[in-house]
Amino acid sequence: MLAALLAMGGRPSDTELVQRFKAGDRAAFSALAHRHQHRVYGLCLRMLGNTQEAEEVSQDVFLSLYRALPRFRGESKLTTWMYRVTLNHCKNHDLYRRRRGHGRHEPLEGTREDAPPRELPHGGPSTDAGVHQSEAGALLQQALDQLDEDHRQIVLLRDVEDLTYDEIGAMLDIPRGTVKSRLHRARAELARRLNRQVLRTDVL
Amino acid sequence: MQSFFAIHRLSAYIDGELPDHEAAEVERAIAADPQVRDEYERMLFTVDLLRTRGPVQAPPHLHAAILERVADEPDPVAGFWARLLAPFRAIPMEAVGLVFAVFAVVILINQDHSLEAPEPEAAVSEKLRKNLQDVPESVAVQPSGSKRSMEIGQSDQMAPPQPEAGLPPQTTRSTRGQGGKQAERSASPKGRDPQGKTSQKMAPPTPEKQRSQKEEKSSRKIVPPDQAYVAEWEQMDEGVGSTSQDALALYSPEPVFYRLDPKDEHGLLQLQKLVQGYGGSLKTLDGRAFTPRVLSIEDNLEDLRVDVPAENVQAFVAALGRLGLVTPIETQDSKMFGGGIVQVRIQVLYNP
Repeated sequence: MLAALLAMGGRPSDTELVQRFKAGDRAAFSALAHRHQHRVYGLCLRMLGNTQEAEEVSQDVFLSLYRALPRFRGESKLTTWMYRVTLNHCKNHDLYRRRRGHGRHEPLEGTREDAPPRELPHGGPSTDAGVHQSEAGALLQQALDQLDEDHRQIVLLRDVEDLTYDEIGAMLDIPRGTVKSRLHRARAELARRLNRQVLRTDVL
Repeated sequence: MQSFFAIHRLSAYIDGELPDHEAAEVERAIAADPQVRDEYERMLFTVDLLRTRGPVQAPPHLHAAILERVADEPDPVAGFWARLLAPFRAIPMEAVGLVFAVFAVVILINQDHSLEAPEPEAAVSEKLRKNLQDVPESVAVQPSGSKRSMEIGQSDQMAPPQPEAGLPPQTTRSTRGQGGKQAERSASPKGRDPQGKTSQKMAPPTPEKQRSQKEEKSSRKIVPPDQAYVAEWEQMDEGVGSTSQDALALYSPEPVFYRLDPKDEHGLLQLQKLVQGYGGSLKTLDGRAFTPRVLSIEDNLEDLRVDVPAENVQAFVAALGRLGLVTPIETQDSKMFGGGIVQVRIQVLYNP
């Protein structure tokens, strides 16, 4: 059935795929997993900061989705629900790690919180040539890792996943005003941490 | 607009979420105040860095790994019986046949026994008479109708069973139903007959006997419902570290925040029972009564407020800590309490 639809040139929507899965077409789930794997994996990776754990948790997320998809009422968008499940899994995994004494990753040498800070010159970090994107990305991930979990997730949902304030509010069950204030605090905190790390490692 | 307010609107300004007049004020503050400008540039740089990172590609084998995991799962769309029997599909038919064969042989053997020639009636009577010689007269004369009451230890004619010297009396721990109570009464070391007289045959209680009586008494202690729920939750706990110290340390006029990780869809209902056990009530953040429900897959984070009488809050917080299912979390959104009621705010994280 799915193949027939694809042969007709139409790209089935998420809603159609969910309906087909509920009707017993297991191939529809494969199509959904193929379509959303990068999104789920990306969010896991940025939340957990570890490729192996991100992969394991992504698999768990899709397993949960597979089990729960027949009960999905469609009151929210599939992607919104998927993000919710993903964040829940990431939180649980993080909790699991902490309970067993495994914290998040150790900060890189020279980027520890307790190192003496240096002040930025006015104008903030420059973005001119010489920026090593991969190193900047690593520093950014490190700064993200140090954020409070709620702050990390809201920054990722807004600035990486590009969700609107309303979508984030619906996903986290918080009012729009809370989204705005929490996002502000999260960005300010991230900027502060990133600023320290960038100065210490002289990447930028 | 003062710099303070401008700084706190920078994030919304970057997202274009401010009304025009506020955006214009923020722009003026950025131009006029170097501190606001620095803050703005740092935040803009951070947001740009996040947004230009690009999408992450999943490893090429992830899709196959997902399908492999899913392949072992029972069909979630299938009916109840199909899902129930799904785990047994992998068992080879030969093994099933073998089990049935063994089962059939066992039944046949049992049937063979039943087909054996019955004992002659005279032999049975003789055996019965011999057995009855060893039984006290009071028991032997009981009519057949009293069999049940004898089994549960209730007989008007029977003295309580005498424990052997040096051994604790045989007690029945069951407290369910009349039979269990009667069994305990009958087996009680006090040795009272139904008329309330102490049996003359009872030996004075030995120290061992007294100790066992004490242990038995303590084991019968009634557990309050709230403690019972804590115990129940502790059993559900999978070796999770206790947070009771943290919880007690957080006992303060400020609301205490926890994250609850229900193990199943009944987590909220269990929480409500615990809360009620401490005279508290479960509410939404704005103070309305919260009716707990069975959690569903689409539930996520829900901020709840538990109002507990001040005199009970320490015990309640300790109980929450003992559950091991709750974790104190940091938050900046705190509110004060009042009226002798302490708020314990719980963020529910449900992951089916």
